[in-house]
Amino acid sequence: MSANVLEVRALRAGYGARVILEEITLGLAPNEWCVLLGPNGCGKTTLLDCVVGRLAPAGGEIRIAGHSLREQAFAAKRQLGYGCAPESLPPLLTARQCLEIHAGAKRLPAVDEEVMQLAEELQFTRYLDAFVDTLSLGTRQKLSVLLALLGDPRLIVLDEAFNGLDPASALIVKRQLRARATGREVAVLLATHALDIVEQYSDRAVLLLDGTLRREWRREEIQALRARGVGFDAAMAEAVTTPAA
Amino acid sequence: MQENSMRLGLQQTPRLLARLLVWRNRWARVAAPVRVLTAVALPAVTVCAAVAAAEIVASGDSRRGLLERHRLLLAVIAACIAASLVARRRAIERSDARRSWLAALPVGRSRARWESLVIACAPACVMLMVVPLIALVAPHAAIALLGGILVGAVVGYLIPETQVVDLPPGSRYVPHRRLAPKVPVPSLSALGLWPVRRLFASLRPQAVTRAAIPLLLVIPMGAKADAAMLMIGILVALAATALLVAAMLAVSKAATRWLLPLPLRPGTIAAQVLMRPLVVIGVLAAVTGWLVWVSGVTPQESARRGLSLFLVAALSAVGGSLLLIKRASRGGS
Repeated sequence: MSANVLEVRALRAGYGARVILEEITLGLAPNEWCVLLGPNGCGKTTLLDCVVGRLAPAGGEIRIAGHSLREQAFAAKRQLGYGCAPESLPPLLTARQCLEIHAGAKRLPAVDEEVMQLAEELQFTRYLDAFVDTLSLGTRQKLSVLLALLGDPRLIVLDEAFNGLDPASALIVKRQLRARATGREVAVLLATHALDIVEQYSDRAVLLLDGTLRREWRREEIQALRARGVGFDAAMAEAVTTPAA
Repeated sequence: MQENSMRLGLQQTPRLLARLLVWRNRWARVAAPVRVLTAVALPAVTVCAAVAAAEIVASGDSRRGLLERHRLLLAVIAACIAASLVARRRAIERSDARRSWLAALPVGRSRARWESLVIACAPACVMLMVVPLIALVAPHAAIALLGGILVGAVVGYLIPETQVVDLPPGSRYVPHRRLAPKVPVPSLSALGLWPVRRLFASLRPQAVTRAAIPLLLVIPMGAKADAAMLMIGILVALAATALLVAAMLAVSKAATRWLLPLPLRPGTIAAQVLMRPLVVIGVLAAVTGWLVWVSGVTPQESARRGLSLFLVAALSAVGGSLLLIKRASRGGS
């Protein structure tokens, strides 16, 4: 039984004959917030799709909280909270119904008090009875985050969750994720281009390039870069342009 | 070379160029056998139509006389269809142009005007393709048809823009319950509402107007009002059933994709998505059977037709949905 909340081993995935990910190995310990970085089209969303079971990998293994996503999908998904892209939300359901369906699927007796409180803080409750297709990008993004946090999952997976969020709401979400990652054996995997999250909130950043994990930065390294006055954007740009060994 | 010169010619009209390129890209994505088949079938159909027309002329068929006698009616129908198609395209084009990704490009006023004229009148141009075929059989009717299409296109283009009504959030043509408890209650039952809402969403005024034209043309000339009403009722029930089946198929796939990361079995999703729409299909089938009975068919025969409709619709919806859910739940590419 693995101690890691997420364990990805030798993952290969793609669409048809097109290979997107090759030999990806990644582990996320409890209390760890990992940021997945990379240029557009490098395979970040494909990796997240594999991790949450939306895309069947061509090879390798994924385990969530010790449960194999292939053989024990039900148990693995019970530990998972996924914030999908806003355009994937069902347009003809209301935000309330989306929350009800997710809570029902996770067999919750009621929607978490904490999630409703977060909705209040994000000023989302006024949109609960609006249809998803009438919501703005930022509001749909808030709904997506709320859905991911339902049921107190051990692994939270978010895909570009801060796109379209106003700075105040983004700060609330970042603090919420940090608090969950610090206080309760939770791991967060976030694909993003927002480098302030890497510098201020995350524990680790990994760079995905050409279908492989090219470089990894631990918190200490990121802090050392800051101390030297080197911005993380410069460090990342260097890593992107440096040819693979 | 030819394509480059075409692009150069359309450089100042970005919307036309974009549409042309989209059309080309779509065509390029069509499978090669289908393209070959189309390239062969189009000339073949044209030749067949010309041969059939020549035969009608040679045999002195009464249909030829019918076309000539009713050329005015033909012209009026063509004008109505052309006007509605062009007006609809113009309205869509107007609203899209404001929000288009090309809206900020600097296009001269006169160029923009003829660009929108070409885009709006494209349906009428397609209609014009019928004129040469009719001309082979009945030249006077063809002239009337041509006149009808042209007049209809001009009228459709000149119809003034309707006032845009901004609906309040949450009122998009779908029934909406306003009063609800404050805290969401965990339940999967809303999944069953999704296909029904999709049915209502597809019944928007524009779509209904578009569908009404062929529906009205199906009613035979000289039919009495009560018979026409019954026929309209039956056709509406059949159309609603078909739309609901299509909505169930689409929603089954979308819901499975959306809920894949959750601990839900495909069977549970299928049950939740399908049960409520199946009840609606049952009601629609019952209404159809009742309308058939009202039109003078025996009760047994009406019930048999209603039941047949329910079975065909339910089986295709359930079978198709289960197949799509199974495929989507594999998480394949």
